[in-house]
Amino acid sequence: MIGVQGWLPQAVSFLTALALVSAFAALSFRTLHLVVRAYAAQSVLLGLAALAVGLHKPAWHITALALLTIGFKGFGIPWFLFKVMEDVKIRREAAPFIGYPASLLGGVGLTLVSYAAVRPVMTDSFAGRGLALGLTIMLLGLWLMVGRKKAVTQVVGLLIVDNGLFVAALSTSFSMPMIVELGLLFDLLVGVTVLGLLIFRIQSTFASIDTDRLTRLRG
Amino acid sequence: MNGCAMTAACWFQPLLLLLLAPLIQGCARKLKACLQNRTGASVLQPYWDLLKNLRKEEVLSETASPVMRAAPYAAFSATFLACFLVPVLFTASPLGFAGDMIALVYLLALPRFFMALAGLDAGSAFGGMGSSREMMISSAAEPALVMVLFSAAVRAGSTGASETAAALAAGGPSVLGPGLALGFIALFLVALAECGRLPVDNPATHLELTMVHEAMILEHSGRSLALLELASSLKLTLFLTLLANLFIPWGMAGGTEPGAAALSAVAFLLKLGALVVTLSVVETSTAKLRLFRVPDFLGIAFVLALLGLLSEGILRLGL
Repeated sequence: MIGVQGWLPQAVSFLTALALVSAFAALSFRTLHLVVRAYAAQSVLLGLAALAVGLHKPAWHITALALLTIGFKGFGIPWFLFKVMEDVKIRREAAPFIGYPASLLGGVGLTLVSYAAVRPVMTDSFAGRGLALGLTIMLLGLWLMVGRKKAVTQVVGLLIVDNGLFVAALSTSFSMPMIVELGLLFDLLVGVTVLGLLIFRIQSTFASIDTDRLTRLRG
Repeated sequence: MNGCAMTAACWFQPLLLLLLAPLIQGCARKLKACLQNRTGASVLQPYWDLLKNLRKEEVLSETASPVMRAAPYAAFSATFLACFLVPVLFTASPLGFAGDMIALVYLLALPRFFMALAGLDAGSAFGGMGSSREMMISSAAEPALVMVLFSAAVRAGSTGASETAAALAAGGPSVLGPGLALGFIALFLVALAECGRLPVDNPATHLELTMVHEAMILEHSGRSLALLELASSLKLTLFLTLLANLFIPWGMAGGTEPGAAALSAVAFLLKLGALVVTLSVVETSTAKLRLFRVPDFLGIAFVLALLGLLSEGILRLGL
């Protein structure tokens, strides 16, 4: 993003940094509700960042997309996940693969890794930072997916990866073209619905949503 | 502006904190009571409690050594001395030349050391339990506190509290960045642990299984108790002042012009009020953590402070 002036870079970097904090929050919470809330907060923050870009430019399609993101990722998906959790009656992540302090410190390590990786191509400071931040959020999402057992948390990890993509796209190229973003949102809708059904299936077959039980054979 | 007025105004700052401390505590209690649909005691109640305790006779355990007698004085004077290192209304602080924020951290550790000793000294089971818990919490809280203060210090290029506050206050809206937000959250979490607030310790309870701070001072009475209570409310005020002046740095006066000073006083009281409200809401809406979860809680603070430090300083990531 060459030639951005005024309050925009500051506002966007502040909001995206808070999005990073919510990714760390998702890593640190034990209660599944709070993990989903952290995702919702992250989506709203990113929606606000996109809204700032849209209003500053001004570009109607970014504004519309920002509002869609807030409504869809900030409220729609979390609502669906809450419903799923209500039905499978799972509330907490009992024994994660990676403990909580270790996963937080690992998260800091991933932050450093992604900044080190982006540094050589960091030509424009704003875009470079955004790319690094997007990469960090993606890695944190993956980290959440590999570290936890519950299927719900792993779904949230996947959604956080998508949010990381959103950050990278927003800060490097003023977000993706409308059609791509709409496609992504639609994909996410289908994906979350399918994963929600899958969680029901895992629950009904194994009486648990711990994904490590999937390795057992079950007729 | 003349040097004399500046010096006088500077020396007035710690006294202001000392006078405000019981009021801050009273306000926090009253707000919590209101949020819980209770009437609550008057906001001035901590002052009356202090006066009552100062007039009362002191009862000491038979096993108590001089450490127990000296601890309240040591704890109070170290906490009060720490107040001389932080900027309150003006960016200058009276003893800022003598110690920086690292000294501040250790001045805050000193009372804890004496209180833990006194807790063990009285010979009651609760005191020892409280001391060991407090040590465990503080060993997790201190690295996070140092990291937070460093994250503020790297922006100013100095570990002095006054220089840091001055640099941040002069920065205007441009200091509003990721580092500030991360540092604020981290210091808030550390303050909850250091001042024995929920979700780490419940300041209102004397329930044997959960108390930490209250268990340590259980055996103190009379003047000693008054001093310890005053020290703990002073510590809370000190942390809120640090939060207000390092992480919401706008509105502080650089000099002692009456206009700027008045504006600074209004800004300071508003910031303090907002922080007390936040504290009460957080305390009302969270449940106490299990003791062994506390290091995890402080781990979050540490990680946030580390990210703040990275984003502002060493790597200039500018997250």
